[in-house]
Amino acid sequence: MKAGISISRGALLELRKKLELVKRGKEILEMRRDQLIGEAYRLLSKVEERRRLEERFASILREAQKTYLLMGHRGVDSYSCLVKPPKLRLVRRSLLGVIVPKVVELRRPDPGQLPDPSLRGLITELWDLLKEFIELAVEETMLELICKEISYLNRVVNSLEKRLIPQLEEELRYIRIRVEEQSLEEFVRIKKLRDRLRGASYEY
Amino acid sequence: MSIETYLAVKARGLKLRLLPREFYHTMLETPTLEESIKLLSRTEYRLTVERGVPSPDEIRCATLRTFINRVEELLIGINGAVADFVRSYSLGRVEMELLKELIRVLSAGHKYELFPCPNLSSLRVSLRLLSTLSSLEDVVQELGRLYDYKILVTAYNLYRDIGEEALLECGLEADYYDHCWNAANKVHATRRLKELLLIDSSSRWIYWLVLLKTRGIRAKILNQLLRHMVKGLDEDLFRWGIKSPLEELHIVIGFISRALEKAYRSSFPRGFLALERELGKVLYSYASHLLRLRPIDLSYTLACLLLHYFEANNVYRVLVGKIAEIPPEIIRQTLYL
Repeated sequence: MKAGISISRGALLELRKKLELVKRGKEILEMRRDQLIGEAYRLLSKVEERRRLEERFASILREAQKTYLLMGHRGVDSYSCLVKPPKLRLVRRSLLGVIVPKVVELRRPDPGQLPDPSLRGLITELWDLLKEFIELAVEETMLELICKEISYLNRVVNSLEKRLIPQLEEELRYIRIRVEEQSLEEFVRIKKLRDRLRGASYEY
Repeated sequence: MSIETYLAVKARGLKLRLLPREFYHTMLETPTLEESIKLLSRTEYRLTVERGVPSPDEIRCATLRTFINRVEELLIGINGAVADFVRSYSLGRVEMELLKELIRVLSAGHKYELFPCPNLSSLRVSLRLLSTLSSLEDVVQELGRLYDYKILVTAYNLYRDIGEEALLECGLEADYYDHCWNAANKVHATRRLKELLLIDSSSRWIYWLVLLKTRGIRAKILNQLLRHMVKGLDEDLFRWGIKSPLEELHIVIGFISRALEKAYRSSFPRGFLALERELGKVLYSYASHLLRLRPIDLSYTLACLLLHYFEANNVYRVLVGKIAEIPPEIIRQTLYL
């Protein structure tokens, strides 16, 4: 119990308001936490696609490896000069109050100058897959950031629930009892004073 | 004994130096790259692991050096038209490969990094000289002026109009085959020799014909570029090939060679890499067939050198595949065996 608490009806009212505000804050934080958990579950189902992507990557990789061997390392290097590189931009956005990254594709790689259509096809396929991997990486990062936020919110809600609210309730109870005691004392004092005043009037 | 016969006899000795098929399987089955290189150090491909694992450039250099040394060894004491022809055919292939890389890099506006291999002085073209030139136009002009790459110059003019890089590579190959046909005309060219040249040049002609047609290049340009590539081909067949749509091209190819037609039919739907590989396989099979026939003319020498060239590529693929940790079954699919 905090020392130096002022015991008065005003303090009691003030404390009641404070407790109500803390409880409402806790509820809001719980609601935000639930929304973030829902978002995390949604992202989790997307992140689970990694296996499918990896399988697709393995099959494309086989083709790429064969191409690498058939063309030779310098052949692949010289062919890659003919491909215009892609352009990406990393931006930040807010998701339920959490700042998460987002990758925006400004330009796809352009293999139009490659003479071999199968090479062009391979590059397009590889880029599509790479883009999916980038999106997956962004979602994994989002999930990580959301999980961090959830754990932070959990700590806040727990401290409110287990520490601040019981403490305020205890203070409130203490003040209420003290205020009641005071009012009882007041009542008794008034009663005694009234009896004394009545006794004096009988004497007259 | 004529020079052709002398060369054919020497080539019989060279044939014995070809690596057997089992050797590649053994190399592929070795668990580490070091062991593969150790295995290879017993052969003429003298690569060592003393200074660490060799880079892909070092491997390529070693394989090309071995191939060039073999050609030079074969041609010791031989001059004149026959030596020129053998050089044009065998070393010209390496030269074309390196020039293609140079042209690709320059056409993309990048700076060409010279292939770090000191043993390329036997090649007709000086890559060192060309790498000092900064623009594609300069390189093409120099090649045309110094090394008689006339079709490449034509291809460059078309490339400037159309912007299709494939035209340059096609022009380069057309020049290579043009040089080969011209050199072949100066020697005693037997039926088998012409057949080998025809199969070789036709396989590339088919590849470029299909590729450029799918890129929407007009028949007039195709005629201009590919005319000198297949000089041994019948004029009517050539025209038919240029004009015919892709769906009917197999009929034209069938008139050139049944094997090429089969390769075209089986591989074309699977893409251009598959087409190139299957057409290459036909050439490999024909060269192997010639070695079994053992003719005493230049066709035997060329077939033998061609197989050595394929061997150099095979060795390169096995080692580079091992460096890149590519599974053996995929490496095996890319080998000519």
